Amino acid sequence: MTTQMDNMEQSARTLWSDAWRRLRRNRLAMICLWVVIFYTALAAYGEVVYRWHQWKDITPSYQQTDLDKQYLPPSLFRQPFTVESGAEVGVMERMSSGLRELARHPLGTDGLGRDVMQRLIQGTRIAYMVGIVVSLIAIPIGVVLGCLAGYFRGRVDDVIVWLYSTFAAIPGLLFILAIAMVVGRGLLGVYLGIGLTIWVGLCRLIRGEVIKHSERPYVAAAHALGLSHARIIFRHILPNVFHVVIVTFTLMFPAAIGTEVFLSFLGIGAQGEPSWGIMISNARLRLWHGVWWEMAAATTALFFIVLAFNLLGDALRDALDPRLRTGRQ
Amino acid sequence: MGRYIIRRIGQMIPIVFGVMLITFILFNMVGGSPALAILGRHVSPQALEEFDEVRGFNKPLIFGWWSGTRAYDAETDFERHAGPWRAVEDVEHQEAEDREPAHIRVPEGEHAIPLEFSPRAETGFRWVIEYRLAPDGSAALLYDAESDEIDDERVEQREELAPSARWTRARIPFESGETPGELNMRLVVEEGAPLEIRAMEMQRRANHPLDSQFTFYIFQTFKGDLGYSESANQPIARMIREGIGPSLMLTVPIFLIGLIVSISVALLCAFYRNTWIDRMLVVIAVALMSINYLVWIVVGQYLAAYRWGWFPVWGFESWIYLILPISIGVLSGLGIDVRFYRTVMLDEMYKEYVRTAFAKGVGKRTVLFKHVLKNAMITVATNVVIAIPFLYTGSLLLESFFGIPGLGYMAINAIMSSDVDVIRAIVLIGAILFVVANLLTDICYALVDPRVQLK
Amino acid sequence: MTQSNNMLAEVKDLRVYFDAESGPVRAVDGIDLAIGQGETVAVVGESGCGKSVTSLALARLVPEPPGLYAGGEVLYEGRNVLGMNEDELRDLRGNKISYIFQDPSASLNPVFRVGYQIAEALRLHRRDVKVREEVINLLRMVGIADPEERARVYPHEMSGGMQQRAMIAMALACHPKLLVADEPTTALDVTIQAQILELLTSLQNQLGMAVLLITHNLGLVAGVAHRVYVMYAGRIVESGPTEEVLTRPRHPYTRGLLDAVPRLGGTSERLKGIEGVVPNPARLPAGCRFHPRCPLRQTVCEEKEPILEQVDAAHASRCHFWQELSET
Repeated sequence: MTTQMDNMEQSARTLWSDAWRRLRRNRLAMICLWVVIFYTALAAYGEVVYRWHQWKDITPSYQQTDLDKQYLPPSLFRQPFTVESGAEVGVMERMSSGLRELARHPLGTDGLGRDVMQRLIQGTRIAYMVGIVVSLIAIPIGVVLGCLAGYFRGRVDDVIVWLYSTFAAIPGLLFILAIAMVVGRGLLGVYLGIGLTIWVGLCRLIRGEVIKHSERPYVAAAHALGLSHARIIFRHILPNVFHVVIVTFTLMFPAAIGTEVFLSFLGIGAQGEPSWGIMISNARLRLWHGVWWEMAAATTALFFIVLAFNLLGDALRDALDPRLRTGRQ
Repeated sequence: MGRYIIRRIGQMIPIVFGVMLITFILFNMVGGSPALAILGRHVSPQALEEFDEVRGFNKPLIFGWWSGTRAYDAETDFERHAGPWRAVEDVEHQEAEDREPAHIRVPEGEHAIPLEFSPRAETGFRWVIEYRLAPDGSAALLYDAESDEIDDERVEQREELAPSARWTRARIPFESGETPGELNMRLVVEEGAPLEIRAMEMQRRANHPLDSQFTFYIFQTFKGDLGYSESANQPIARMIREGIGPSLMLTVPIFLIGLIVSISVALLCAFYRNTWIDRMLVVIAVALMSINYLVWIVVGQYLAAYRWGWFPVWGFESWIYLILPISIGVLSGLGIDVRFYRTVMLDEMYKEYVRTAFAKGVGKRTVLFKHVLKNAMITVATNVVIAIPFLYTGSLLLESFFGIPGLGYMAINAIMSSDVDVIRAIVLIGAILFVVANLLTDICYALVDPRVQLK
Repeated sequence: MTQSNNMLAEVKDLRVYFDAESGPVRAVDGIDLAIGQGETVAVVGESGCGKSVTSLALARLVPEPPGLYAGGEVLYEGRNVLGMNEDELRDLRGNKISYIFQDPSASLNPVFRVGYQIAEALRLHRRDVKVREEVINLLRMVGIADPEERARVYPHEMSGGMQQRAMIAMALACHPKLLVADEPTTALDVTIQAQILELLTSLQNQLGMAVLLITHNLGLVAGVAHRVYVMYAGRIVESGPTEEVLTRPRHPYTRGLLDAVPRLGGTSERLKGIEGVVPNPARLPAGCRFHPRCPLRQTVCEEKEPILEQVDAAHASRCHFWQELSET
């Protein structure tokens, strides 16, 4: 029996390496993975910048108003840089001053003269914060409740199914808005609003998988060895259903980011910090005056991270769970 | 069939109850005092109490005998000042120091307890007092109560506060008289002054422990009374009746057009599966679904309505005003639907009965549009029914962006003005529709799929 | 081998590959096969050896992609099936070649009534008949009692055996000249298996059609098939008259299969299986494909793949040492 369980664990391990091998062969998925890594690095950089300014107790440049520089277009769209004519200005100097001009506010500035690129990076930081904190709230709830319901069945199952059916019955966006409203404006409301509603789908999936696994012989073998329930659930069953968590995470993350943008846009989310939602909200009115770059920057950044996560999620599902594959037999 | 439906309705009740409980907890326990939120801080406690009385907010939340009353301002715990006792002479306030909590010190003598208004007549109350009194001290609560022996005569009642060197809590029940204002509550300190009081609260006794805000809310809802919107100043039921029309005018076309388009595209994908057409459509679908809903609206409104001037920007005057929001709604939902229905179709395409059909000599088109589509319709039908409740809430953003006076617009406004009752009503109706739609889905299942029988 | 001109269907050097992430999988890798008019031919092999793919290829039913006809031809009455257009294929399928599949519960469309599914084949190919009556006739012919009633039920309301009878009725609707039965009894109860097999044999005699029987059970073949092909890893390893192959197998794989068939009242010998597993078609061994599992392997087997050698006029074997296997 132990060997059978070892085999299960072995197969769980090879499942991961197998999946990784399949994923690596998928070129699109690898591109998406690099996009995600790039955004993660940006978010980490943004966090460092944010902390540094907090520690030094100075206002960061992305928050500083500079009315002399307002509405500066991205550097590529500015008037060609003119150097005062003079014979003594060499080619090298011309090039270096041109490059310097390109590097100055490469994505332009907003209506208060703040650098759009800096704000975009801070927006990435906030988006990641939301994605991570929401996952930290929702995944434990979903996994624990799903495991308990699927493993113990009976009364426990009834209560948990009732709980998630109830949550599922409440119109999603309104529920999130209501929680955020009750908690108060700010990111805490966003975390709780999204985190406390998004676990339902994961819980349902995990419950189904755990029910399936509870009927497998290796669980019976673990029972026969007298292992505790907690050990059976978390050491034996959970590793076998963990791919569901991974795939759900890659879909939960962009959903959380999108919802944060929505809440911040409505003014319920981030306060005074350059979230993408706030950038879109600010840029929306300026757009009507032809200031397109702030809107373009925020929406493009948002689009690519969500796209990368969506494609990566698809590829991961194909790689991790061949039964769920779409398109091939 | 009939028995099945009855059993399913039986299963629906706990879920509707759960929704009511969760929204109740969300808005009434976490959300703070609705009376204060709506009437503001400058209203007399008596007005607040009356507001609560009408809406049942002065009852215990879910279960219990005791609930607060505003007759004695219970919101103060002497943390920063003496609260209502500021008006009483000689009572000193002691701020928190080291381990000593903040408290008030009541000197020797008889002091009228500062009540905001006379408590309701013929009701049970109690004081909850956390105090400290020197061991040789003597202090008591005095009030007038009806005598047991002589009719219409009020006699003084005395409740002793036992001396205690450490902070201790006493609960002293009493009854108010037949007419308000006869109570005359006093606190007397005779020896061992001062009496130190750390916290003091007056609580009202309910008729029975189930006489709570929650039961009040449930009964109110069962009577079909959804409450009254303070911000819009009209009954919520009427607001919903008026808002549902515009909402449906927007969501129903979005839903139907979206359904037809996405199923057609999904069929196209299935027909050309594993070719470049299919792959291209899938990539487009994923790209479409990765564009944030907000961006669809903001950019769509800017480009199509403002920049190119194809449609009116804002308003709700004729069907022309609906074209743009409907198009945006359809487009924004297309990606995810196409992907879903494509998966459904392809799953069917690889079933064995499809091979049988081909082996019979049925052509590709007939296989797809007859054999596969009829099987896929089982999934489609259930998906359609389950989407129906979401039509009613309308589209929060589309409506507020394009000025369509539907439920979504109403909900956003309610959230912006913290109008709890409106949101609670919309959520509740949405949840009930969802649960009913769930039942309809299962019935629908049985109608479309000959393998399913309702038991 | 028999001359090809009076053959009903012929497969010549057929290669069917599948697209997989790890490169093409050679599911069928150079197969020759012939079926005469009214003849019963069996293809035997373990699951994954390519026998089902071969049978589907007869009417070009392997889905493309992921399948790919990489070479060879399939001739039906002398015409190449793989070169036919969509209309010609539709005329072939169900009309001249028809199929019975392994799992009748999955192979019948769950949302159409049984009668309708049979009628569909009739409407496609036989416009001259009265559909309703013909459906009833067909159901009666395959031994379904109360056919009027049964035509109106959905597949899930029938038992497995009944479903397979309905499948047979559907396959026979247009009196095909070739019936391909792909593991027709595997998914059924043992008691039902014999009935279905009996039904097939009697219908064949009655209608005079050829039958291609695909099975993994060599025991099933005896007394049913005239000739048998044994397949292993995408290739035919032995072929010949059933009697001959079953009594004097000239390939170690066939011998292994025969040893694995339990016999009633046989010797008390233990049943022998074949050691090892079917090779992954994406990573076929070099040399003879059977050598890793072969009890007789020599060095030459690991290096050189044997050709299909004629043992006698009708019997062929793909083994370097078939001569040594002559007497057992």
